[in-house]
Amino acid sequence: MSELKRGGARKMNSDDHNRRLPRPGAWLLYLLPLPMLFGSLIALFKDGKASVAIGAGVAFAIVMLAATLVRKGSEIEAQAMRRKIVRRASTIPYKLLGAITLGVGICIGAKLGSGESLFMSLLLGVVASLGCFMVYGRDPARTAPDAPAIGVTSEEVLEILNEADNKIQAIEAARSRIHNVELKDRLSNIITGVREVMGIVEEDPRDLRRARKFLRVYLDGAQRVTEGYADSHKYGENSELEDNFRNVLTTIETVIGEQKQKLSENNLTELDVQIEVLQLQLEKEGV
Amino acid sequence: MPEKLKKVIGVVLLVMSVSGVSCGSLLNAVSSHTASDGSLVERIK
Repeated sequence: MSELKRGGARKMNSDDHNRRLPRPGAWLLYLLPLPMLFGSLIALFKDGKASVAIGAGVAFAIVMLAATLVRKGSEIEAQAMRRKIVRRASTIPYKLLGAITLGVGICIGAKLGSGESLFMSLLLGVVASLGCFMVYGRDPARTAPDAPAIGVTSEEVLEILNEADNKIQAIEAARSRIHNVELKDRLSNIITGVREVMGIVEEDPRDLRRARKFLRVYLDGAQRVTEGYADSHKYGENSELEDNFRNVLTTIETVIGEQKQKLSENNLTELDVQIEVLQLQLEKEGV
Repeated sequence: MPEKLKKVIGVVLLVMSVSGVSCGSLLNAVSSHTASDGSLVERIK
């Protein structure tokens, strides 16, 4: 037990942290080839420039495809790095494909659009691919950083956390439709409490075993009840409904409190066990 | 290589190659001296 580190799912190392540094958006790849498009359009209306028009046009289209691939790859990476736990990224290496496609596009553009030699075109293509790779980085790891020791995978943890995030957003949207200040405040506290529970789970995915029911079932119930109240609230005040909603909020608050206590107790129990094991070990070794 | 330096070099390479080729295409298109293969070298000659 003591061998297990809390937070068994793979956490970010310094390399991951470096990859979190802000990268220039893919806009650079959309902006830089624009003269190629103008060149293609101008050549289209000139005699004897058909090859330039076609070459530049095709190259522009390929570079746009490359930019889209790189953007998609960057989005996936940003999504993967949003949380403390690293998730398995897409199985398609979008950034790598983008860099290769960019190289091909630039090679075609240089040969047919600019009229460079084959060697020079290939060189420019390689340089563009290399530059793209250096600026946008490599794709995140494709292997699942599973945590078999904790009985759940990072994917499962992130899926449940994302689901919970969506439910919180729905509760927040419903809250904005409610005008009663007291109820709004209580809902705000509930949201904070749920976020705290999510933070605990994110910090140590092993707690998911205990928080799963809360994040799935109770939060789902809370969302439905809040939305239902917000919808019926717009048809006028109903004191009975308001009292019922207050009772539900009290229940939710109690459940959140219990959940947080359960998670912290679990940590303390684990610490107790670890201390006991350590004491036994020390006694055994006669220290 | 530090991440920042790598990024700067990458941007320079990217700007040089992509904008070089795209501006070359534009110049090639607007040039009135058309060579048989449209090459810049030919036009200079």
